[in-house]
Amino acid sequence: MAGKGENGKGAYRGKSVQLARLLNAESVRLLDLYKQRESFPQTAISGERLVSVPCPTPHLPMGEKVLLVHTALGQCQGLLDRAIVLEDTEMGLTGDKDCKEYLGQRKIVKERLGHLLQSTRGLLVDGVGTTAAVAGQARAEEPDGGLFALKVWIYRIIQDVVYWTNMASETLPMAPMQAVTQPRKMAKIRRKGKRTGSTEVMDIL
Amino acid sequence: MSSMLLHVLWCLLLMASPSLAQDGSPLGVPQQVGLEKDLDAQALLVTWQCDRESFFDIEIYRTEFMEVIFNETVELSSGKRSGVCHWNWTSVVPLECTSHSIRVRSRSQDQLRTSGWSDFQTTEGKDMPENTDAQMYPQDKVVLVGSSTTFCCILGEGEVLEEIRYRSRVMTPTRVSRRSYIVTQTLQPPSNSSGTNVLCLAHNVSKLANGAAIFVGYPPDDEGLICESQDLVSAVCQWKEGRPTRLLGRRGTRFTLNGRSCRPPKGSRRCSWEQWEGNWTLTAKNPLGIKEIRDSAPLSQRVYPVAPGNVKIPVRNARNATLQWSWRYPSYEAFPLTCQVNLASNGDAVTLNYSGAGLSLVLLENLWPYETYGVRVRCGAQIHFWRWGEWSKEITFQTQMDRPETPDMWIRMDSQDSGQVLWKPLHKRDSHGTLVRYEVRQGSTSEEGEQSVDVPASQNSSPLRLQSGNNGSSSETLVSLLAHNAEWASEPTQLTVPKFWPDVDVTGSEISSREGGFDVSWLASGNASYGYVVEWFDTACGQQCTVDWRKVPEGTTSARIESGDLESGMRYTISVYGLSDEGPQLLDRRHGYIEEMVPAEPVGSLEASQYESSVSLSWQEAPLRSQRGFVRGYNIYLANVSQYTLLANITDPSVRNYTIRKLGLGTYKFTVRAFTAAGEDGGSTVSIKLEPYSDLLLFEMLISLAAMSGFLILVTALCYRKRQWVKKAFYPEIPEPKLAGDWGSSQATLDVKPSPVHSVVQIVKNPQWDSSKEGLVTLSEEDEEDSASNSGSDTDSDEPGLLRYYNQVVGDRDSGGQGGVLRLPADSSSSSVGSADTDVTYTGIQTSPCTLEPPTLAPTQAEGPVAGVNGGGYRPQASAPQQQQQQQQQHQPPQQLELQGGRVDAGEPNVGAPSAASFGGYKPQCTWRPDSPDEGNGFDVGSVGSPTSVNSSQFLIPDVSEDDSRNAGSSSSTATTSWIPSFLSSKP
Repeated sequence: MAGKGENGKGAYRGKSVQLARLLNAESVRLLDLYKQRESFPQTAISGERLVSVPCPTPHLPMGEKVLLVHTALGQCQGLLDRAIVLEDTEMGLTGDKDCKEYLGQRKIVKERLGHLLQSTRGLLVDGVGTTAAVAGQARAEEPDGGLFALKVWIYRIIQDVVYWTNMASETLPMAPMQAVTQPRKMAKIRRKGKRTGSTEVMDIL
Repeated sequence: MSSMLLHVLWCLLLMASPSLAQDGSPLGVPQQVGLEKDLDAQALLVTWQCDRESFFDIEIYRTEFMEVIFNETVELSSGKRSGVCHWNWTSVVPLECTSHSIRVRSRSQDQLRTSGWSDFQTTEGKDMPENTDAQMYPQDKVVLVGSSTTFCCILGEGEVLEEIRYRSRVMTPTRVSRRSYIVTQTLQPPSNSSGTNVLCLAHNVSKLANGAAIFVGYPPDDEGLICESQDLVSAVCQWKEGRPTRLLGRRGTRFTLNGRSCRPPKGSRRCSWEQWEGNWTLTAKNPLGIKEIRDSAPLSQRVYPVAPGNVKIPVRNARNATLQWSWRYPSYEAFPLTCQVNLASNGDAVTLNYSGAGLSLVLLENLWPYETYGVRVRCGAQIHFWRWGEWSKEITFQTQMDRPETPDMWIRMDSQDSGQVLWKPLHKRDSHGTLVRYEVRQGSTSEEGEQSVDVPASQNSSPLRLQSGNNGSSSETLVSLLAHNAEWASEPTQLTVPKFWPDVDVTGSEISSREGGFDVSWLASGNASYGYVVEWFDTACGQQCTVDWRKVPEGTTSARIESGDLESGMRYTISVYGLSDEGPQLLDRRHGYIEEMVPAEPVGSLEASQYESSVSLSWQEAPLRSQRGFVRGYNIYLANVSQYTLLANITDPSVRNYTIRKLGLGTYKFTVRAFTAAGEDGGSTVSIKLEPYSDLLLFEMLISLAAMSGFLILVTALCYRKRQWVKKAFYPEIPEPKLAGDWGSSQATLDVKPSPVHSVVQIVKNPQWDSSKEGLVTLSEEDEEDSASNSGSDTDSDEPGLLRYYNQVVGDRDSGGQGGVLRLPADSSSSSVGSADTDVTYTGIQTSPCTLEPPTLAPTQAEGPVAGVNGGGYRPQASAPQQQQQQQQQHQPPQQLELQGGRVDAGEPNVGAPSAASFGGYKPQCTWRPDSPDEGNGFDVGSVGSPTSVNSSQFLIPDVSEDDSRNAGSSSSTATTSWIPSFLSSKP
């Protein structure tokens, strides 16, 4: 049974990894379309990442890495949803026939991001900690400047989606072996954190 | 010095003059100069105190570089009450780009005098040091397509400009302050929905310093406002977009209808109004402009009825039905309406028009029985028709069944007493219900009673078999046909059974086609009281014929046969019958093709047969099905390796053989191709190898014989003319032997002693018998040569090889030549001795052979031959057994020495080996005769040509009598060859 469970977990993880890789490719494509439409330079725009989740460091346990990825993807989803609303409101993209491909790709990324979020939640040991993880808010607020600032903001959001989907595709393959034990450890850490008032996770978030 | 003084004075005058009024009083410096700015409008608003209409000089600077960008004199008047002058200036460059300073001075009416400048009034730009961030202006500006816009990029502190791009195009910047650069884009094209980006890229920050978006589009251009009413109360106004503004989102067009905002559904241009107002104004507005469009009409002229609801068929009959519907609004009940009913069945649709106040019920007529219809309805205003309203939902209904139509029947006779009753299947529109069966009735016009047969509805024929009546005629048989559907039976159709007319292909009966059909015409028949029937079918169909026909009314004598079933390359038989009380009568029959094609199959049974030097070809025509056209003839080809050579073109298709004459021996391939109007078939090929025929063989043999005969005659004639030479060459006169001794008295035994190879046998007299005579001695070749040379006159010097012996007769007429030595030629000796080069020399041959006694043994070197000689005479061929036999015969009485047949072959020593009796001894002497034919034992002329040996014939030719008795078998050969010497010996 254990073996069967491990196999099932492995298969589930495999699907998550494939989904992350696919979404990464889709988001890269979306970024290309966006840059093409806005005539943005090919080099990345500097500045802080909008997703307020630190990059997983090698010394972190795998379970925590998965949690970080899951949290970041959740923020990406929130940012992307908001960007879509603003983009449609301010620019009226839905009425532009020349934006069909971009809009289609945007829809794909949005939906797949939701699927990946669901998938990574499954790797988080019965979803423990996901509430706290998703609750993390993005660092950046909506721009209050002109439309160009909004465009740069959306650009950064897509950049973050690309970054974190890539991170997910690299992190998730190592998730199952850790995940079997990691949830309890995470729970302990969390409980310990509550007692001590500082845990790694809380620090991360 | 003086000039310098004048110059200073002039300058002082100029400086003092503006301060002087027209009347000479000094001009005052503008007071309370104020400066305001409108960033969106990029305008500076300047105010100052002024008393009356006057002129002012105004200067505007870019503060940081103190660059004058405006310097003009303007005429202004103060407000009547305020005493303040206002002046606006619109900048091309956004005012945020850098700080601007302005100053004003007064100018006199004559514009010759000015006041002093006011103090600078400055408005700060966004490039002040306290604003360290990078910025770009203007932001989110909306401009008209084709206009020009100037942008400025304010770099962040410490940044260095790399480039400014408009969309993707690199612009040329102009520096207007320490951190601010401007670019201007002219003739801007329409932007996309998200605007056109202007990017400012810096070196030392990750490229993108800042940017701005600009929206380039058009003002609204909506048109065609039309307001209608559906419920006879409210209004719905619609219009068209016109040229797209290219502005979307917040910059998109906003609409108001009669001053009230309306928001059309996405993708449409439509707004509703609760009450009809008669006059309508639509305002379309976007950042670039406003457009108003109007419409005006009374409600009655703008009625657009709604779709009828609750459409149903309350009554259904076979050929009519009623259609009913209801209106959503009660106001329709009295409103005059005109309605269209769309009735569709089997892909065909008809439109019926009805009208009336509050119309909601109509009668549908002329319907097909048992037909399914789809029906829908729409209406419009009967008075002041505006346009048709919306279609109702379509409903379907089916009419009732009715009596089927009378089926179209025809009878085709296969023989005198059998045929098929054929009818065309009733179309659904003709069956008027689900067809159940057909009923075929067969009866006689003269007799009562009918036979009835039910045929399933799926069949279109029924076999017909006639039973001869009393008079043996079947022409009065009447056939009736009825069609039955589930509820009704059709009226019967009747036809008298026609006679049987076999389909005979008659020359000249062809009918040509035109545009995929046959145009058939015929002579009118007085008997065709019921019209005509044109029948056609596939000629090659056999018993499984699909017959089609068409009935032609009386008075019409032509018809066109055109059907999708007609196929190219298929022969059709087309018959015209006249219908009368006596039944159908055949009037005409033709054959034709819709389109002729090349035969699908070559001629059959192609055979080739040789007759002397001719080849006769015969073939059979292809089956009718494969002809696919009227065969117009045949082409005969000689098939070579790479080409066909036309030999004959037979234009008579009945000719199916052809003879090719005067052909040489060899192999030929002939191809026969039938051709139609469309061309030739693939051809059938036959190969034949011409052999020498008997007459030719006989002829050749005769020629050969004649040639041979001629040659022989020529040779004979030649030999005859040259007989002297021939005789001399081949049969020279042999001199008579002349013996030196007394040969006549002596009876010595001829002792032949063959020498070994190349030895010479010398025949000598037995010294014992007569020592005084010279005996036969063995001579060496040297001796022989010597003797030959000595013989001189006895040897034919011309033919030494052939005449190397002396045909001497040793006897009384011995010529007594040189020692009586006789030499045998080489070939003769070789035959006898077995050695190819043995020469036998006869010396001292006895003259009376019959009296020869067996020779006594003489010492010899060659044991065999000697033994033979000792036994029975000369036996050079004798083998060992023969020698033994001869030895046994030594005790027998002496016999003549004889060379059997003279055919002595060195290679076959036993050939011709005589039996003991036959070669009882070589007895040439017995046959010898004197050279003179006058003597009794003279030389026999007939033996001269003995094939035994030309050189020794006189020795070998046997005596005639002996020949007859001993060797009858060889007589024939002797006889056949004896004519030559006779011929040669005869004198001319």
